Order: sequence, then structure tokens, then C-alpha cells
Amino acid sequence: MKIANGIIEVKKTMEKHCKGYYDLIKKEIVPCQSFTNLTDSGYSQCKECQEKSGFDLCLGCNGSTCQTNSGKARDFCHEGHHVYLAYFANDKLKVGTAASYRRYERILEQGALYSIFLAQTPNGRMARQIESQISKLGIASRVNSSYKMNNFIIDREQEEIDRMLMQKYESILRSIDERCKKYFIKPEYNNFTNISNKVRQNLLEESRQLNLFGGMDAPVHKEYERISKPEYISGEIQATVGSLILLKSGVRYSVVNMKSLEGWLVDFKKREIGEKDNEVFDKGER
Amino acid sequence: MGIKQFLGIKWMDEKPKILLYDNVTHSMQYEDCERNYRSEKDNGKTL
Ligand SMILES: [Zn+2]
Repeated sequence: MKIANGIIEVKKTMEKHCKGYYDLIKKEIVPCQSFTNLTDSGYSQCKECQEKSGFDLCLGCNGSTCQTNSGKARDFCHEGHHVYLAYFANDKLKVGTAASYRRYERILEQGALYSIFLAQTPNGRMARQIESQISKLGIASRVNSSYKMNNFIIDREQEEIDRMLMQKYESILRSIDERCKKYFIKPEYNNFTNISNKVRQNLLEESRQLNLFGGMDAPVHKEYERISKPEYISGEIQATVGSLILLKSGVRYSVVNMKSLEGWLVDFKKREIGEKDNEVFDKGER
Repeated sequence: MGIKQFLGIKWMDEKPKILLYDNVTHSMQYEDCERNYRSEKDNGKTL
């Protein structure tokens, strides 16, 4: 018997607390020790956790002068890094860096379903310098969540995207200075077409009518609601792209930015579909 | 499942998880955040 899981119901309460921090050395999320109440604050992390993460001064670093006073951040920076070039829907490219050991998680948490790793560096600083040079060529180093929500469906085929990334790689290679060039690698191509397909299966409607030229029209995008600040959501999870989830409730679709719920206390319910009452459901074992 | 703190969607081993924290028991809870068919036949289905 088929069992799908994924019907969720999330109701935001009126309370927000610090979301803790990511321990760069232990490589795990640590909850906030004082569980600081941040309900009336625009932040989702308290000062203490921000300092403990050691990473706050690294945001926006371009690799020129190190700003951090945290030993943890320095240790992390001394690990091997990769520089990636990611493709987002409607031909938006983004350059970014990732610690090599968690590079796939990094691109997945960004919601980058197609990308290449184009350089490998001995530390984060060099990676940031390369990133900064590439962004000066006119490639974005940030893609915000509203762009990602508004451009949720990738129309292009994998081969086209692959070609586009390779062409960009070659043009970057022609423009970048020698000091950076030596860290470039043969591009390592990553695709998560399985995720892109889940989105397309839900949000693309194949045209069934012949057009004037005897061919089929391009598939039509179905409407979906964009929920950037969820208060109450419910439905079946169809796909997860970065921190965005595609929910289906009846015939209605919505794309929800889960990032904005970070730190909030929520009433969370999850239901399995088609689950038999007397069946033991062993999650996580596959 | 009750009131928990939502810590975010985390990608682990290339799978999305909803991370919840229970401040009473001080425990973390990871919930699958995708449509998962347990039947192997349905895996890898394409358009
Ligand atoms: Zn804190």
C-alpha cells in the first residue's frame, strides 16, 4: 500500500523566541540557552547567540580584510571552500560560497536546483575574493525570497540550463585575474531535477490545443498564492525548494516562505495520508 | 503534537526536514518536509 506523508497544519502563536545558532565546529544547531523572548523584535536571534555563532561579522565579507574576532569563525574559514554559480528560474544567476563539507546542503538551502561548483579554495577568504570578483562582472550574490517565490517554476530543460551555466563559466574564466584563476576547477554540475519536476508536475498545465502552427503551446503556469508571512497554513507538501514549501489544499496551491516563521512558537500538526490505523508507521527508515 | 518552536527547514543528506524545538523537554524534533511515497515503485517518477 502507498503511504504518503506530508499533510501539515501550522498555526503561528503570538510568541517568538531566539532560534539559537549553528555551531560551526560541532556542525549542529544549538538551541538558545536563555530562550530569549523576541516577540517584539525584528530579529530571530539574540545577541548572545549571534556572538556564539561567531559568524555575524562574516556577513558581507569580500575576503579583503578579516573582520571577525571569533576563533570559531576563523577555524571555519580555514576549511576548504567551493565557489558556486547557481541558476534560478527566469535565467537569474547567482554566485556564492560554501564550506566544501556542506556544499550540497548549502545550495539546497538556497533553493538552487541547478548549479556548478566552479572553484575550490583552501579557505573561505579566497572563496570570498573570487565571489566578489565574479559579482563585479554583474552576477548577483543574493537572490531574495520574493524573487524566489515569484519565480517558482523553472521552464527550461536541464540541458539548456547546463549549457547556460557552462557558457557563463567560460566567460568568467576569461575575465577573472590570474591570482583567482588558479583555483578554478573543471565545473562540477549539480542538478536536482527531481525537485524541479515535483514543482512542474503540480504547477504546469500542458496545453491540449493545437496552435495556429500545428504545434502545442508552451505549458501554462497554474496560479498559486504567495504567502511570505504565514499565520496559518495547511495542506499537503508537494515540494520543498530551499525554505519555500509548495502546499496543495484541495485544488489550491500556495508557496509559503517558512523562513519568516523561524523562532516562532507554532502549533504543529502532521497527518499521514492513507495510513492504516493498525499499521506501525516507521518514519525515517527507507 | 502541540506547541513547539519552529527553528527552520534544514537540509540533511539532501532531504528537507522541519526542525522543531520543545523548550519543555529540551529536545529537537525533525519532521520530513516532502511528499514521500513509501512504495519504491513511485520513486523517481518523472513527467
Ligand atoms: Zn539566543
